[in-house]
Amino acid sequence: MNLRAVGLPVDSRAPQPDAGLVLADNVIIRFGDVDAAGPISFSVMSGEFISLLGPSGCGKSSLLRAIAGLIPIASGRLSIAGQPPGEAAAMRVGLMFQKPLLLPWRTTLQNIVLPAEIATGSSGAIDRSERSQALELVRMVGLSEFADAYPHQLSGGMQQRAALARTLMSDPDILLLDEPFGALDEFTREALNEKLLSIWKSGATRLKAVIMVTHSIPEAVAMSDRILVLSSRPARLLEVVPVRLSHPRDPANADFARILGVTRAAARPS
Amino acid sequence: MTRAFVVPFSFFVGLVIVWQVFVVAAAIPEYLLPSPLVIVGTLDKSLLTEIGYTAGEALCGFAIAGVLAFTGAILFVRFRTIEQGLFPIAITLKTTPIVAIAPLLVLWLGTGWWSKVAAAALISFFPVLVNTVKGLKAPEADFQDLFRTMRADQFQVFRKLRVPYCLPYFFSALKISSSLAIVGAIVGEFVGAEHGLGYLIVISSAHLETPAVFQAIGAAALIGISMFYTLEFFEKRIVFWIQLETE
Repeated sequence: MNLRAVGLPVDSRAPQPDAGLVLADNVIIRFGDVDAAGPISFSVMSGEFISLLGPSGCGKSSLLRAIAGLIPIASGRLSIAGQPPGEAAAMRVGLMFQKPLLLPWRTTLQNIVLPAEIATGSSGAIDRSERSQALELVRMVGLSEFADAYPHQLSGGMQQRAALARTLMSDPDILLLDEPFGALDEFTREALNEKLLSIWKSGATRLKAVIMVTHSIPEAVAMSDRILVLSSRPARLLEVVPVRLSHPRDPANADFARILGVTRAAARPS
Repeated sequence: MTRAFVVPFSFFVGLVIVWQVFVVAAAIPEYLLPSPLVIVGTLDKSLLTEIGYTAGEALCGFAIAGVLAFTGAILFVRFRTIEQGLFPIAITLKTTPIVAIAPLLVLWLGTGWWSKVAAAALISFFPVLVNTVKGLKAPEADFQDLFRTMRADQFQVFRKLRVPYCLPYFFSALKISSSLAIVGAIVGEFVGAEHGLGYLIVISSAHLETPAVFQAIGAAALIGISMFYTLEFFEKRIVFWIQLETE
């Protein structure tokens, strides 16, 4: 049943079974003769936070890059809101990399406005509303005091927060995260994961879905609504683990521990 | 004064003193090795004119080379066919000694200003070209993917990523080329000229006026050092985020 069609109020960020935002159907990704991922099928619903969990080098990042339209798929079908990746004009996809990739000659704020500058085309001049949006994002990621600092003056954690703000600057509907905080220490990483969740839950953005690549089982359980457990290369779907826990999630909680155990068992190489 | 300055300066002064004492004590004839005091004592205002010629030729050639090499590098990186076709030729020209080409330049352009400018430009062109190409290609694949996710066009990728990214490489190459430009100008003057430090060296050594040869050599070194540090001054301000090593 389509709730919109019958005029009922719909929370756009609540899972809607009939609205597969990202659909992968028997997708295979190949580099030359080497299979990087697949065949794999899954779907991501509107309102979902999904983790792609798998060992290093299993091809999960390749999957994410295919969704971002950066690499082609060898066979199968991959669509975002019904259109091929990279062409889905109605849906904006933002990809955050493992490395911050800040331009060293730009300040935090200048880095964050980059997507807006590029979207203006040749003029490269951003308008006032884009500038205030950037300032709002700087505040949201807690970098207000460092808005005019250069990347080399920031810590690794601050650099990743700036990268997150830059990714959000393009107002994505779907946020793709490639082990975004993987290079950081555990304390910084947890703090940033909480920051990310609070932004996701706040509804201050257009975000409809988040897909995060990770190889950390506790991180997947702490963050996601569903965990897609992947095999080693080429990545295939081993199991889907739903995580029906409210936020904030307490690792000491018995349900948390149970789901952690289930995920661990699913991820164990057989 | 910093230690980094004081230590090399003290050594320099020490060497000059040793030189002076050695020349006087061993009674070396002036035409073989003049003492530092003689070299400085016979300095003449006319040296400034010769410095002006050589510095002007070197700077002009250097500037032409810088502009052409930067433009060429952008074309090379933007259009692969041009790079494939011209890069091997560029490398061949780069390995050809300027001394071998200089007589041709004088033959074509005459004994005046332009043959020296051409020699200076020719010798300083290739390091800038090669390094700038390297710099334009230096942004890692992730950076290019980032720009693709933002749907940037080729022009934007150049303007906002590749060109700023290559600036440290560009400056590092300019510093290498600045001393080469003087070599080019002086070699040009050796072959055929009526002015300049190269001309002064040739004429003075033929007449065994060795102090003047030393004065010219010192002046050439001074031009090189001033160009190098002027470039470094600008480099530190423009490319404030990184400095590549210059050998």
